[in-house]
Amino acid sequence: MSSSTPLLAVDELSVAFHRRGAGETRAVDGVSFTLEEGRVTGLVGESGCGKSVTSLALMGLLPDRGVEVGGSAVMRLPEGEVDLLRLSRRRLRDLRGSQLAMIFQDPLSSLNPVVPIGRQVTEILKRHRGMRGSAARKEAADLLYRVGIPDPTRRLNEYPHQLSGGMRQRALIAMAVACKPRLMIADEPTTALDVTIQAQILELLKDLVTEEGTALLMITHDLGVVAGLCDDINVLYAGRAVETAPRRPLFADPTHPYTVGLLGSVPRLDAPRGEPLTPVRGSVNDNIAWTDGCAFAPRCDHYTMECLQGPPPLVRTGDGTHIHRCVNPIDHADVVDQTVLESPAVVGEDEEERE
Amino acid sequence: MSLLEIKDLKVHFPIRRGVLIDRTIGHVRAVDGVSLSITKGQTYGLVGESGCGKTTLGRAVLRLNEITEGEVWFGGRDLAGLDSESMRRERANLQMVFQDPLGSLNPRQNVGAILMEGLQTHGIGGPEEFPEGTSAKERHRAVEEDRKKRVVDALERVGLSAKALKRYPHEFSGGQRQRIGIARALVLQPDLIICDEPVSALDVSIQAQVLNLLEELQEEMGLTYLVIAHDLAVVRHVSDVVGVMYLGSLVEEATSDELYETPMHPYTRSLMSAVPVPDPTVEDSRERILLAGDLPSPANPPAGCRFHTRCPWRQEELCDTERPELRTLKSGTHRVACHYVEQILSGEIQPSEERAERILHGTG
Amino acid sequence: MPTTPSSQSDEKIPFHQRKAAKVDRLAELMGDRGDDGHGAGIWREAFARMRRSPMAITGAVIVAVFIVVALFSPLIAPYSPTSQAWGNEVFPNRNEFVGPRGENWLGLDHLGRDMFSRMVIGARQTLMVGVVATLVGFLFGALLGGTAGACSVLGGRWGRQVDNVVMRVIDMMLALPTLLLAVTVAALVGPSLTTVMLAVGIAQIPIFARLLRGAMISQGNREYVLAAQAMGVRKRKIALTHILPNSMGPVIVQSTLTLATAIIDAAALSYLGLGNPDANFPEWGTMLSEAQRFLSSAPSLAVYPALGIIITALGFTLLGESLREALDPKLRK
Repeated sequence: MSSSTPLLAVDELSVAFHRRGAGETRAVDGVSFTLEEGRVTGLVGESGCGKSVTSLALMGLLPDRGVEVGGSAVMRLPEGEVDLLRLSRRRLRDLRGSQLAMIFQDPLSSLNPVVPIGRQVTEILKRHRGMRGSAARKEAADLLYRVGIPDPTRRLNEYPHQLSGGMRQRALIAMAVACKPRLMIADEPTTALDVTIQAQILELLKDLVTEEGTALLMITHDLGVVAGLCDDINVLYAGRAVETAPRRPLFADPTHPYTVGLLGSVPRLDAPRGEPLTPVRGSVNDNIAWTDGCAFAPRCDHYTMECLQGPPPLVRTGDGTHIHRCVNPIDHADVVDQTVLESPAVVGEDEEERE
Repeated sequence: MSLLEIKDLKVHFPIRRGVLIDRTIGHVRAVDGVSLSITKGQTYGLVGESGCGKTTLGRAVLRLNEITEGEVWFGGRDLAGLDSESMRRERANLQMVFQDPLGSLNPRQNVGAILMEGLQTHGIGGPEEFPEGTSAKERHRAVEEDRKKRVVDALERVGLSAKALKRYPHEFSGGQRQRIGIARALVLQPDLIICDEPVSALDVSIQAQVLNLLEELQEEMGLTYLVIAHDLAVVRHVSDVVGVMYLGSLVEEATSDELYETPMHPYTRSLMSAVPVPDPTVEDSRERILLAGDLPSPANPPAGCRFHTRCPWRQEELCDTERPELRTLKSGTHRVACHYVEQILSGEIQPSEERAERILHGTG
Repeated sequence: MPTTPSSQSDEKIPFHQRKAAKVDRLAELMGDRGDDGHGAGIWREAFARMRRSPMAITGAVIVAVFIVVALFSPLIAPYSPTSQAWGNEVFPNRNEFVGPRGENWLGLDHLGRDMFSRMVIGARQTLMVGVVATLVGFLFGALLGGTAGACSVLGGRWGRQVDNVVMRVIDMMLALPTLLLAVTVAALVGPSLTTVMLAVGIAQIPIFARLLRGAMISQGNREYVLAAQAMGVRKRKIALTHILPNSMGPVIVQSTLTLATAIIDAAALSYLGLGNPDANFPEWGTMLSEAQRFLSSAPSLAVYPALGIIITALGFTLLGESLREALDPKLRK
């Protein structure tokens, strides 16, 4: 890595919603991770784990009222470092589209239905790159071609509803990469798509990261997608990261019981038939507050009294890149030298030095 | 012994236009000539992408969609030929589990009422014969008690307790709701349960719970399933026989293991290569065939082989002119609808890089 | 925090006791959030939500006061609303009126009748107009809309034709303005309170019909209807026990809103002289129309009935809007 500081360092991000009469809901409860150029970081988890709220908080797309955002998300920009969570609305709007881009799950509702695709792309080029007229149109056609939309000049005049789901997602990606953003957030970009189309889109994202050196934050519930695409993976549960590791160690030696349970829940295409699934019992609703203990304890087969005494600390294992938040981790032969870290902030720095 | 046999089933939806008088201007060929048979006590998995007609097929078996042509033999009777009242009665033996666990439960009925409805509809419950002289009131009570017992039994089988009876669907989690949906199907003790995307609306860990439950119930009660899903890994996990659908027709059918070991149809091969596997080692090394383009419209399907517009193995002859029949290969259990399947299998015909978006050859 | 067993005492306590301890502790921690689901239906939940909304409470209080006053008006009104007991104290042609005073809380009207008594008794008539008009609209509208909706959802091709015919008839009714309809009815039957109630009610029929039909068609596409069909439930039972109860929400909300507009519409018709021709008869709309002659000299005669109409209509509207909000599926967890 050329630079010593990461492109984006998210530290102890927390988001709490206040609702009238319903009290406080902590959707994200202290999530830390870093994004590097040319790498894909994954946030994996089931519904309610806080993965989507994390992305909205980073993009500044959460509503103003009734939401409390804590922690920091420091991004390295050419003109210096800024904390995305503390920027003014206006400054953030300028950053979105130029430095930050987001791809959503539902491409149809993220595109303006009454404006042709071409105009939606050229508008971004005009706003952020100052391009005009035929130059902008030509660049727009180029972008559509790059994301694999055949016959792009004709497509420029078409409306979103005339494109298929896969083509719409490609158009959305074209708009996201129009200004060569340094950071892209993809929130379940392929969940609404068919498998064969999903494969096309994932391959396209992979190319963008390797060719343009964009940092990609991939948010998904699909462990298969993560295995194929992400370099570093954070497994989230009830608003906190329970396990963080590069992808190979994570899948080879998962240490947190939740990760193990998730992996045991997915039917594998390549598994011999008849191999039973070993799912996690209960549902996400069966949890306890992190301040009381491990939120996963009610669904865990390995919990002990120690799990119910305050939030479990982050523990680093192996070469220091594999981190989990568990008192009784699943044992693997190669787990050696466990170090309890003081604070999650230390984790980020340590990780940096080792890389 | 086959429990359900579908012969050349066609479901075409008319496309209607007009203000007062409907005028038919075309047909969506949602299911266009599918034949398959399901063995008693086994699971038949139907897999395909959205728009391939798999859901329509499942609903057509229950006659929830009008059948345009073809036969559906179930228990010695052709369901396609039944009048609507006989069909309504027959539905006690064929049940369905739906995709959306919340949407498929009436929000205003409590669980007890939801499960009781089928029993009431078909007049199930109560002893075969009442002793002489039982009053109507006593009979009624005996029937009600027996029904309640059946309902509680079904609930317990799916892992819920009798406490759930008085509660409403929105008070349960997604997985529990799907369990209620399964209990609703079970309570009638049907011969066949059609599961339409039974787990796709659920979280990963809950999916596995429901899949395991379906398997347990099959073992305990000897159920027969038709599982319809878009996820090949899920279908392969639960099914004995898997059928792959593309644009209204079956392109390949084989036992679950055979299909994985030797996928023969080009569509099955690309589909299989596109399914992500939660294992980086596998992901990095396997073959990947990225298809070009999208599914053609079922209102105007391509001539010849339905898949020829996207097929990387496409040949100049036959593919775009003649529709391939589903033919049984030498092994006897493997059926494929492709003109050139033998040549593709032997490697004589190689996929063309130009016709696919990209082909990554496996390294492992 | 309960006392936490240290690792040394762990050795001494038998395994099953340690296990029991951790299970208890977990149950305790999970118990904090409370299990609030105990068979509460949608309506009961909506009601619980409304109890927290200031808008709903305001509306409910207004409506409750109005209904109590209307029901017990003969007991509340101190004098007869028609007796011109103080007729010799009021001279409209000389612009001499009597304002609020000890024995007449709201003063006297132009014929020397007690204004407060007239307002109180008028509330009863106004409520009756609102309720009857809404009921007429609700019953016939629901019947037409329900038939059309059920036919469209479950009737197949033939049913869609029935739906088509019914809806075109309703469209024609919708095209007629309320006022024109009321004038026509009044011309046929003669001006009376019944005329006003009928006219206002008939004008509401197409609105109720369209609303119920729309709700039924959207419910008919839901999967639980398909599930009932797959179960083999008879079509008539599906329409009555599945589709209809789930479609009533918007219709019930609409009827509270209609109560408000019906009161205003009835007042407008009475004001135009299509209501009860007996000018003695206390009804807020008629009172308002009577008072217009003295608007410059005694505006209070118009202000009281006008305020009554506005506040009551507001009460019903607030209640209806908060009911709509409470039933909104998007707000439900």
